[in-house]
Amino acid sequence: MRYFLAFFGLLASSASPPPAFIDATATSGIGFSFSASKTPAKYLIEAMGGGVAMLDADGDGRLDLFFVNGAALRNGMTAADAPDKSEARYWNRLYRNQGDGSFEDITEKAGLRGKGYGQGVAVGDCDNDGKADLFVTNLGANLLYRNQGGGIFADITAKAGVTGSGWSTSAGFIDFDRDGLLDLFVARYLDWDFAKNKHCGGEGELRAYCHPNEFKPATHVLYRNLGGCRFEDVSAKAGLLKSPGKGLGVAFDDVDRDGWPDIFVANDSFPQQLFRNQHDGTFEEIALTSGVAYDDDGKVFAGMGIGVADYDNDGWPDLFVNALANQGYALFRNAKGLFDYVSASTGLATISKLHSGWGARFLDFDNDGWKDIFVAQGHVMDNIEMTQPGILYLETPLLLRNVNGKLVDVSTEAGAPFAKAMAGRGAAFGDLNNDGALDVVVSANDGKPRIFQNARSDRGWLIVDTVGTKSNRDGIGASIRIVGASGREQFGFVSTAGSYLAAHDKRVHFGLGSDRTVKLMEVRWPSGQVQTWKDVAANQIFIAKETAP
Amino acid sequence: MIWLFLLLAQDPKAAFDRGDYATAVRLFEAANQRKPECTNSLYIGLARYRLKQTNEALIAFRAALQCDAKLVAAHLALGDAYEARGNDSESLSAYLQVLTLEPKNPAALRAASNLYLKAGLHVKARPLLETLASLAPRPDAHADLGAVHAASGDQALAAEQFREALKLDPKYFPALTGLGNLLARAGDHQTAVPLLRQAAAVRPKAWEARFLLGSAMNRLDQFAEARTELELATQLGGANEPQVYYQLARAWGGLGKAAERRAALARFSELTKKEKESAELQKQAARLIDEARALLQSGDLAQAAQRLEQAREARPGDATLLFRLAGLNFDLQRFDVAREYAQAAISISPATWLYHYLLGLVEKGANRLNDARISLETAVQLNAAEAPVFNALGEVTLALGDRAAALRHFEKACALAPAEAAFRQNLEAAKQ
Repeated sequence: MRYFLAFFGLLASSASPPPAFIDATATSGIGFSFSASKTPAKYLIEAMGGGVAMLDADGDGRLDLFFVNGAALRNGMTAADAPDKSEARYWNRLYRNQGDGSFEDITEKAGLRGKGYGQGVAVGDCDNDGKADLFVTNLGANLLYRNQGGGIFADITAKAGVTGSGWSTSAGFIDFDRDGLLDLFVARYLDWDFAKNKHCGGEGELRAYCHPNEFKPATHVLYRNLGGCRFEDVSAKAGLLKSPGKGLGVAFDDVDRDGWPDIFVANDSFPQQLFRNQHDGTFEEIALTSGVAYDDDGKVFAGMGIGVADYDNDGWPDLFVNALANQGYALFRNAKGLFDYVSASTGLATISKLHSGWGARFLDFDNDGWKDIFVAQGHVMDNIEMTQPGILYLETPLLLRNVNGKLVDVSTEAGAPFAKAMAGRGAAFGDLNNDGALDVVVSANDGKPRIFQNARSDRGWLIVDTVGTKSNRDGIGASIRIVGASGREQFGFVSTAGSYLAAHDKRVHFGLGSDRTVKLMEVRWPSGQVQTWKDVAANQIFIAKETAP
Repeated sequence: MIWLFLLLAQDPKAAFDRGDYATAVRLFEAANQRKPECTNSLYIGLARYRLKQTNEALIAFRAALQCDAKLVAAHLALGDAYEARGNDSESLSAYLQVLTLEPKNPAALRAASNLYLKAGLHVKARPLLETLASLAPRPDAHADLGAVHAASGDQALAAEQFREALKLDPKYFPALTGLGNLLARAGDHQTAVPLLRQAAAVRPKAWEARFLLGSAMNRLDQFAEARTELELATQLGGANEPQVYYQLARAWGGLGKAAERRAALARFSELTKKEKESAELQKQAARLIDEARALLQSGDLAQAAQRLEQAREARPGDATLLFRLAGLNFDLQRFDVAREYAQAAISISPATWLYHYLLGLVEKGANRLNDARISLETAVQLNAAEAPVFNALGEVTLALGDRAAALRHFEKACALAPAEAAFRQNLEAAKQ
């Protein structure tokens, strides 16, 4: 009988694919924990969690991890009160990737403890010196750190002119005017401060975080880079003040393929926004007319995390925006500039109906040449089970595999980390160990983050690391098209933005399936130059450097 | 005296049964004077309700319950009457009273679950519907359960319940649209579209079926049919529904008609804006009420009244708000304004004793003693357990020179609140 069971056990294990992800948190040595500082006052910010960034802070070719943290809150805070970050448990943290799966806390040496109640993080080389600079959003004043090399940062916020105000959430660097300097877009959430906090829900344990409808929307901020990481607030000039939102997620791409980057903002319980770049320093908000403002019923939903990528390999970037339980996540397919809501036809509506999503991105986790979707999940209300049985506060993450354009929930077979529930919030994506398989780091609200290390290695891949010369040094905003040996086309866009409160590996990853070469790679740089490479071998990190035309 | 003989000889129930409600009211009132019975008030209420004298009917139902709080038929009648006039909270409260007395009362289960569904409280509707469905097979309970499961994201259970409803009645419209919509959203258009077509055939003039069918056609990229159905939906009563225009815009877009698409989106935006403005107005009202509460606590009655008056513009049908306004103006001795608000509150919720009591106090303050007496007597009729009402009625009747009545009312007040010195003093003074 023992052999009989063993035989069938063996058959079973060989029939199902091995789990893609392993939980690398314990071995990473990362001791960070996001401190939300929950109070009986139920300040809305306590529910939001914090961001995470993957960036090569010390220039050693390996992605380091930066976590944004909260700060001490207490009941009865006034508008003038600043959350206290002085205790070490509230510091933001930078962990240096040591190359063996472990990370070293270098926060103090790096000078990145931070100030205020942290929210999101953006990464970009704002002075084109080849080193990744860091922008941290807060409730209140934001922070810009210039990377001085060797993992040491200097706070240049005041000089740079990007302090800002209000409640900033996701942010991202993009060269919107294509002048070779990375500009900065900052989404803002609500017109809220401690004095505007309200009592929502019932008494005691039933008190709830207020719905965003209780507060007015806020305008987003666009800073134009004047050079040397000095910025000018051009929000009014760019036309952004006409379109306030309740922004939580930000992503960039060239939606209409006119060569200029456009801006998506995921708004919470407010129409989603698409700011079309009008090539003259201004933007037009076109979400309604392009079909991405609302769900299939013309209803608003709680847009939080956002992902933009061409999931159907037709050359047009599509949009994913997640939502709160009972709404369903939104997938908008780009049909040449006009979007179709395809959540139902792709199976996403049914899969996501009871989930609440935050950090999210398209990623080809199995390197089959089709972009899949990862979503960090967990309801916003920590007492949701008391009022809505069946909806969970702590949720396991969701991994959706793209199978011929349909999305299939493969979470349960994707490995052990997908079995552990958490209050998932920010999620950053990139290749932490440079093995060609995309890893994910998810931050948790009031808890420890988790590292999802992708262990797949059976298919081809290519990672493109753009280096701009006339364009911005990062090559952010470059569009990449590859044609594999099999003839399959794929498209990518260089950006560290997207997801929720997070910043990602700036390198663009492609899964190649069984292709062992890329017969053509074309990079359309922000400068306008188009550069091609032929017969690029698979399974490498390819540095694509912009050369003079 | 002959008229009295004739009156006595008539059977009030027979008059009610033959539909002569005016006579029935008269006869039941007479019978009640001779020998008070709780069911007399109930029948008076039912007869008045059929005579479309809703306010009087509500007062009669409440009086019947005052007499016998376990009179299920009176609770049901009260619930129905309030529901008919759109006062959902009072209506629900009456049906829930029935369910405390008879947890399996089908009419109350049906009505209360409907009200919960209307308010979007699916979790509360669910157990009532489950009980209702367990009592006897009925398509409405199963279809509503399907809607509840669909709203909470359990699509398999939802489909099961809709199918159960269709087994009982294959043409049951809510089940056809519910299941059709569910399956269309899940991408099973092959099953969904025939169901939605059948729904449209069952109720050709219902805009909802046309809307759902049009939306499903959009998802199938069959834009011409989608457009036809959605345009029909606008003509059949869906013209104020933003989502109809959202889908219509999609259909026009699919047909390559940019101008028509823009127009549909513009209409969608206009309707969405209206909805948003209305929601904003409600929020503003809530804010004003909060401010008024704070002002009240600080003793600034005039400012508090001003805030509530502003809030009233957003909530003209909120009886509680009107009552608060009446109370505040009464405290400010603005009797004319207070009367207006109290009467408005009563017109919305005529069987609430407190509103009549306040109106009585207002009339007393304005020295309109006869009107005060009528209001206070109504309050007593609705709730005979409140000592202050009897005391006020005693004061009014005494001022009107009806010492016997005053003594009766003061005695009742003292009996209900023996420790209240003021009531005792009034009684003693009236005796002298």
